[in-house]
Amino acid sequence: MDTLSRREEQVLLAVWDLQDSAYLLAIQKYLTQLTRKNWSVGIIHKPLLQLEKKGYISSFMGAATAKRGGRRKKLYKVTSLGTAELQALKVEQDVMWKNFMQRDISKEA
Amino acid sequence: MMFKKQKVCTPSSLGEKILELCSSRQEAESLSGDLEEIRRDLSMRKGSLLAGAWYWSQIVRAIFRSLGLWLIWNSTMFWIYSKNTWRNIRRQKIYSFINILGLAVGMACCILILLWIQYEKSYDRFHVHLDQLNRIILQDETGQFHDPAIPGLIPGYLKDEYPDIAQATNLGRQERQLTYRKRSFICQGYLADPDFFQMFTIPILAGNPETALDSGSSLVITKDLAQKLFQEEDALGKVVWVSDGITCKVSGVLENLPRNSSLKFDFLLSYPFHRQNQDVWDWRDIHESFVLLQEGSSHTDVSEKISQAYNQKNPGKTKEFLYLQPMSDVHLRAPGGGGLITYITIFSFMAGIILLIACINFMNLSTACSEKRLKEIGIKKVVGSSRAQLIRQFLSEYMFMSFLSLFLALLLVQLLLPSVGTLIGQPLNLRISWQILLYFVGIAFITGIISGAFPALILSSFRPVSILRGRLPMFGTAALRRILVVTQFSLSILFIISALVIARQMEFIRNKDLGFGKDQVVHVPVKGYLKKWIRTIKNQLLENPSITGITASSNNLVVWDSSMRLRWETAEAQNDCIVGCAWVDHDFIKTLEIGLADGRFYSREFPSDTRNAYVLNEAAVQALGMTDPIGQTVIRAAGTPWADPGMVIGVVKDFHTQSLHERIKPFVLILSTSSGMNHMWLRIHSQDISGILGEVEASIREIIPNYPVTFQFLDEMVDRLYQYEQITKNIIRYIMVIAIVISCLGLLGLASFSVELRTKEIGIRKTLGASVPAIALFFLKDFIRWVILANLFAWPLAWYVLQRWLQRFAYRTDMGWHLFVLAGFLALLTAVATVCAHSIKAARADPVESLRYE
Repeated sequence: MDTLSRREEQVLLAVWDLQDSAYLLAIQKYLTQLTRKNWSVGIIHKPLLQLEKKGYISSFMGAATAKRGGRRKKLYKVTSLGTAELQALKVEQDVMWKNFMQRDISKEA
Repeated sequence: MMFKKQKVCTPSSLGEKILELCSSRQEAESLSGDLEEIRRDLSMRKGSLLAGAWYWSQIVRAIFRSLGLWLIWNSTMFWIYSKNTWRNIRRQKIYSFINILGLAVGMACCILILLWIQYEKSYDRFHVHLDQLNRIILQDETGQFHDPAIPGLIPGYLKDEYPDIAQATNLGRQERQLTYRKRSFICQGYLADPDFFQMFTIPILAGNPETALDSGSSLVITKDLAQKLFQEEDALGKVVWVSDGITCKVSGVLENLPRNSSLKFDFLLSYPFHRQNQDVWDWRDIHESFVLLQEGSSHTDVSEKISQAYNQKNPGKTKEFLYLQPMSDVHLRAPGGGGLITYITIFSFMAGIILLIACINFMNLSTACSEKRLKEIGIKKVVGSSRAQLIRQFLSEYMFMSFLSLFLALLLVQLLLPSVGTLIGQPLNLRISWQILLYFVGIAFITGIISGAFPALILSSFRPVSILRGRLPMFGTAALRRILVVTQFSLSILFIISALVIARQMEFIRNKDLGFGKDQVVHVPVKGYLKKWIRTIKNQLLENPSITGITASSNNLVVWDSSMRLRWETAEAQNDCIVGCAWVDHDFIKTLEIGLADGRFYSREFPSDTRNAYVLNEAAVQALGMTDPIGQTVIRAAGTPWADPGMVIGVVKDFHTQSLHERIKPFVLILSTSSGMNHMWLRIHSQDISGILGEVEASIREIIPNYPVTFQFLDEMVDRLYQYEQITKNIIRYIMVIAIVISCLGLLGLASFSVELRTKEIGIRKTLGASVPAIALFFLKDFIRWVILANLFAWPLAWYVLQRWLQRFAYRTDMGWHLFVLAGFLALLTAVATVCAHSIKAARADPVESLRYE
């Protein structure tokens, strides 16, 4: 199992959350709104490729819409492998964050 | 849907195309969709202008990025391929050397011939109105004569009658002696009409073209002649003495004619003031004539019109007609067929064949060598290279070699140009124009493709498993290689046979009895004052014991340049025909050793011979339909009425007045005692020829101090009629040698390769007791079989080709089957000599060496 980078993790979560409408621009909008940072298309595109290569997401061509000048979207979907990875990641992080929260931060500083 | 349709037509559809080119096919659609969506979003928020700018900046970035990637990968692969190629060349030094050199020689041949053809085809192209320029040709009823010489007034007449003809001029060839102060030269020139300057594109340096040929005393000369005559002085307005008693004032100086001009002259005189014709259809004074058609007139239409006019004016000659020959054909095609174009075709074929032989060689050796590279191919395939990649690699390798050959070929050409120039009698130069370079690159490219295609396709198709396990699937290629070698040798044999047959025909021409004795005869052109003194000089020269005979004639013996009409009237019929004619003196047939068939020749004992007597040749007797010619009366056409009736007093045996391409034509000899002689012929009998010529020159100078005496030998003049045949003979000899050498190189490569493949077999044979000669013969047998097979293909082909060449001669030798056998034998001999050494070496090798590593 490959480890995910922070960015890949964010994109994977976004794809999962967007469910059936996850395509490049939707992901961009979603992430921009949530993180309040400017996400360019290129920055999302690369993790998408990586994730697809690692088998966490799969892509398929969606329906055409007039808004896109009649072109089809490339839609992404989290695979079962991806879901499992997300769950594992969540468990791992929860454990680590729990330790972080239990200590007194001000004392450490 | 409406919306979508509209959107497809937006300017960004171009951007989409670009995007499609830059990205992979599946990505393109969704990516362009995404881009479109963003663009639309932007244009809603910040205006369509900004959105457009953003969109295009994205496209441009995409272009640069994909271009960069393409460059990086391709240059990397190129570098790897070229490294590979270079290693292969170095690993097999001898093969590569033979390969590249063979191809370079073939290409050099091809390039040289191309250069020559290009030069010949460039003739007369400098005339601006080339498409409209035409020469008038007269075709007679027999269809044998296509004569460019017509009465000098016809062109002017046609110009007045037919609006299609814009300009017209005579070009009456003149050879005159031009003298200014003490400087005197014999020059070639034309009588021309004032239209000349508007028709032909020859820049006038001084003088007014409109008036330069307007008077009888006008003389237009070329820059070269002006320099020779006047040296530093200004030419315009100078008075020059022109032979035959006229003085002219220089009214114009022309730029020198380009080398590739079919009009060749030093001076022009005004035709209207020097003509002798009184009537348009006067046949005494005939010249070449050119017309310039109106733009848009077709020359076939005009041909028809003028030929009708001719028939109307000359009733009774319905089968004779005038037609126009385009100026662009004047140099290349003789009227009535043949001419230089035949040789251009022949040489083009030769160039093609030699290149083919070189290509075959290249293919042969390449496949042979590349079988050594099967392992490399196997490994590459296993590692994952696709077939297309392998094909590309091989093609680029062969392309590299063929361009290397091209480079070598160009060097060779540069080296050989001067000697080839002298060989064909034309100075060639290698001016690298874009067009020519394109030609050559094209040749190299095609050669690379043809020679590379076979190995590339065959070798890349092998399965890696069979290659790597050592099962070499080669049966197919071996058979093909045999076919190639047979083809190569067939073509070489074709060249050998051609060279032999052409040499035989040239020998035949050389030894053919022309009807006159051509050896030891010296020709002296007679110009100017010399014409008046000719009888004195004759008598004086005859005192020299080494000069056995002298005669004078109005026309050159070896060139048919003057003709007239002759008619024989009987009670039943009138027969008339065009005959060649010459005015001669009493000693003509004696000096030139022409035989007499019937009657007598002109004699001083019959003073009446000077008028109303004719001597015909046998062909003329036949053409006029006479059975008993002596004493018959014939009339010649001079002007419209037939005039000068005379009696036939003798018939001479046929003699050749043209090259042997032509049948002997009717000819009439007329006695002349006037001063109209242009040629003097001396028969000399001495070992010290230059001494005699010196004496002749001295005695002429004694009478006319400044006279420029020139000599030519009659046999050389005859030889010059076969200039192109001679060139062909020389060139085909070289090409033959080159073809054989290239073929043998190929054979050598193959032989050494096949020996290498069968080292083990030889070893086993030897251990089992085979003798050295037996093994050598075993190899030779194979090659001998191929060469014999090649002979069988070459013979019929050669027979057909040479038959067609020989048919161009009215008088020709037979081909001789022994030449064919000789050619085959020669090819066999060279093949055996090439292979022999190699097979003996292989046969003598110690079997221990070859079998040790089993």
